[in-house]
Amino acid sequence: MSTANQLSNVEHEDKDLHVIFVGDIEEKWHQDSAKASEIMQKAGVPDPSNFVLEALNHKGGDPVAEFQSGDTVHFEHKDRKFFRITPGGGGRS
Amino acid sequence: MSDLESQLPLPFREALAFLRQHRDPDVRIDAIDANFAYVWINNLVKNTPGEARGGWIRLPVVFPHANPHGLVTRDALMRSNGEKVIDGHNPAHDMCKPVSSMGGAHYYSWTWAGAPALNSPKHIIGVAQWYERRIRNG
Repeated sequence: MSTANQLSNVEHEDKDLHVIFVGDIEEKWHQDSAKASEIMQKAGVPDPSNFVLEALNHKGGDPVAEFQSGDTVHFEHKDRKFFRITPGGGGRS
Repeated sequence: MSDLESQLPLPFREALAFLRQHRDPDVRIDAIDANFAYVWINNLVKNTPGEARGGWIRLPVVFPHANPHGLVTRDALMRSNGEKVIDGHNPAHDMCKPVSSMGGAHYYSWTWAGAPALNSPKHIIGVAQWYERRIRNG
């Protein structure tokens, strides 16, 4: 019985676990969404305010969506497994 | 290494090597003009399926100690809705001349203003991505 309960807990934890990649960095999130700033900080960007998080269509693929620091990323949505961090800002002369 | 590339300072050449290793092995220098090098990136992503990838990003020869400025393309850039990108678009601008013999015909006068400071040759990867973001956002 105890083993069955433990298995059940493991299955429950796995269901809530989202494994994503920011470049080559693997991140594990035990929630369905996170702020883009939190994802970038976890990947090693201390101040993500000047960067955007881009979702890719596959590992090393093309960007299909971008998130500003304050945006929420929903991991269960399509193409929310692979990301890259790109400088924000820019003007024109 | 091409003659043009050999003229560039070591940090710039390190950036090119890093870009070739991590992004595009076919990256090349097609021109150096007025303290800027024209770096051809073959796999620069565009917005519509009909557009050929690639473009010349203009990097200062002292990169990463000065900022990128402008993009030159063969064809006018399109937005994902099929309209032309108009932000900073200068067709047949003088900035195209160094690569006009290779088809460079459209100059986009995009600047690094408000973007994060650059201080490593490895930041060239982010620069390439930044150009793709500018293309996407039109």
